[in-house]
Amino acid sequence: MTNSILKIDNLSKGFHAVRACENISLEINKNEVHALIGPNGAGKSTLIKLITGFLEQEYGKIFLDNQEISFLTPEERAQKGIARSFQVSSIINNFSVVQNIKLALIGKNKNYLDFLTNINLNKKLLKEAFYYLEEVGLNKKANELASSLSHGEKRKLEICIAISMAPKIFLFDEPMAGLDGESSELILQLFKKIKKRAPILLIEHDMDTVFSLADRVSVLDYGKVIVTGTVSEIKKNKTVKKVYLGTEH
Amino acid sequence: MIKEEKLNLIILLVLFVIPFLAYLFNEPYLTTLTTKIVILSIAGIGLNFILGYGGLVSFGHAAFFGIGGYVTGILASHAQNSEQMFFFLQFDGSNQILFIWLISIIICSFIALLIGYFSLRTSGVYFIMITLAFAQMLYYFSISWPAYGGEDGLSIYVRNVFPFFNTMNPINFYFICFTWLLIFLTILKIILNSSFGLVLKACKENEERVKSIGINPFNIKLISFVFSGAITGLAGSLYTDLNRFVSPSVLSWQMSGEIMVLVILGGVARLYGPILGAVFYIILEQTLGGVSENWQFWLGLIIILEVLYARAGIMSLFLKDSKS
Ligand SMILES: Nc1ncnc2c1ncn2[C@@H]1O[C@H](COP(=O)(O)OP(=O)(O)OP(=O)(O)O)[C@@H](O)[C@H]1O
Ligand SMILES: [Mg+2]
Repeated sequence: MTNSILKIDNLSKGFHAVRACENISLEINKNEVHALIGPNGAGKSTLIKLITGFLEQEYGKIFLDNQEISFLTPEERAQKGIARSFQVSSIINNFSVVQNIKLALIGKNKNYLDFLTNINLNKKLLKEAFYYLEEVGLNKKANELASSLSHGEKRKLEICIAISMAPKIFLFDEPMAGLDGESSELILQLFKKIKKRAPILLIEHDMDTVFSLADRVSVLDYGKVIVTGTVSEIKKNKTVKKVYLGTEH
Repeated sequence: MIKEEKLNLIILLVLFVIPFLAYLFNEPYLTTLTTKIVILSIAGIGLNFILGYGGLVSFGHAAFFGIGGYVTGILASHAQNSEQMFFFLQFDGSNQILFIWLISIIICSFIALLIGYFSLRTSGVYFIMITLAFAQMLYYFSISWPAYGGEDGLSIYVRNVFPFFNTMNPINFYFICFTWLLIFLTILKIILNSSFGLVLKACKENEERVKSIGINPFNIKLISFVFSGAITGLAGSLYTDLNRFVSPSVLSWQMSGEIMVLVILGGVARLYGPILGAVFYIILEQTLGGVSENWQFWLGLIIILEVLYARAGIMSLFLKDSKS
């Protein structure tokens, strides 16, 4: 048995002439933060959509915990333990912050066919929701409308939704984009903590963040993984320097 | 300017006392009119459940209203004529209202399951069109089926029988309808505060998010659609008993439009909105309808004004903290 939680095998997807993902193979192991980096349009978000089932692959396979999930629907994959955040925040704006978390907990506990219990009076649910809100520091905003949150708070809420699903793996698509230093730092610490619960596949543009957080890094370019390795291996790699780091550093 | 709960209570109280006042002032017609308001309210509440809370604009709810109506008419007419229903089945209808309600709810739920199963694969304008198309199919079927009156409709002469209770007495029949209104308001209030209700409201705004937490929005919407169809169907059943008559007009697109208009008039996504909508609609029909045959011109104007200036409907005009 390997200790890989998520295994991707030869995954491919194109849009017309664009090969967004081409024969991508990756393994995400227990307790690791696996960063996925690459220039704009490299296919990072497409890969996440393939893993979560929002897009269908042309060929290739996806395994979660050694079980093939390549043809399951997005909701089935979420039930099996894949939690994600979107590149553009995807929350329920008309709900309060705590309602957003309650919604996620209902999904996790699979009790969406409960027509009778008043969720506003359910103390256990509220307590659980607050446990996760405190983790991201949103407990003081619990009763505010999600639409009234700042950009950074919305990102935190989305991460909180993912955490509250208690998944087998986290997929985060640029969760720190547009955040100030303080918020980024908070999320960085949070990720260090939650990676012990489940590994994280992290798309991130900021190299300092990647290097301080990631255990391993994969570099994507034109839909292909050009290299996978530890942070120090990636720093030394010549192709990576040319394709990606070269333009930024 | 008052709180929503208070307004709701006032609405119910007013509805409760009107038939007594009508009796006192010897105006039985007013009781019949209020009964119609209550029945249309139930139909509207059924639609509002998916339209207001689930964002599903069904333009075919006459299908359920009409089927509830025809189930009632057909069962009753067989019972009255002691006619066997099917050539192979030893069953000649029923005039027992409790049984008729049960059958109406079962059949309307089943039809809603079928219509919902196909139409909920679409969204937006396509959903509006496909629900309309289903209802139109049923409408033309009712016209072309001579066994139950075809275009002329079907009379049942006397109301169906409720145990120990004379339904032909207008006040009695009114309170039967009013009780149904209370039952549905209670059931929906409970559902809307439940886990299911929260997920339904989430589907309205962001299905992608609902999928990402492991729930299939289609199932949620389908179940809601079935509830909605059953409620509106029961309203149709009551409507046949009120009029002692059912005709294809209850299946027409105008009927779907009427139900939708009173939901929008009253205030979408407010539980009691359709009641105010129905009150307002009937008042308009009675006052303007007497002035001009084309009173719906004025209705159109009012809806335009509402959309421009009072999006949240008549409810919002009375409420302090009205969400827009
Ligand atoms: N739905 C789509 N239809 C057509 N082309 C698409 C679609 N989605 C993505 N693409 C194309 O596929 C390629 C990969 O896109 P993707 O969004 O995965 O890139 P990315 O690595 O996430 O980029 P970014 O850093 O800008 O988020 C791009 O060339 C993009 O234009
Ligand atoms: Mg992207």
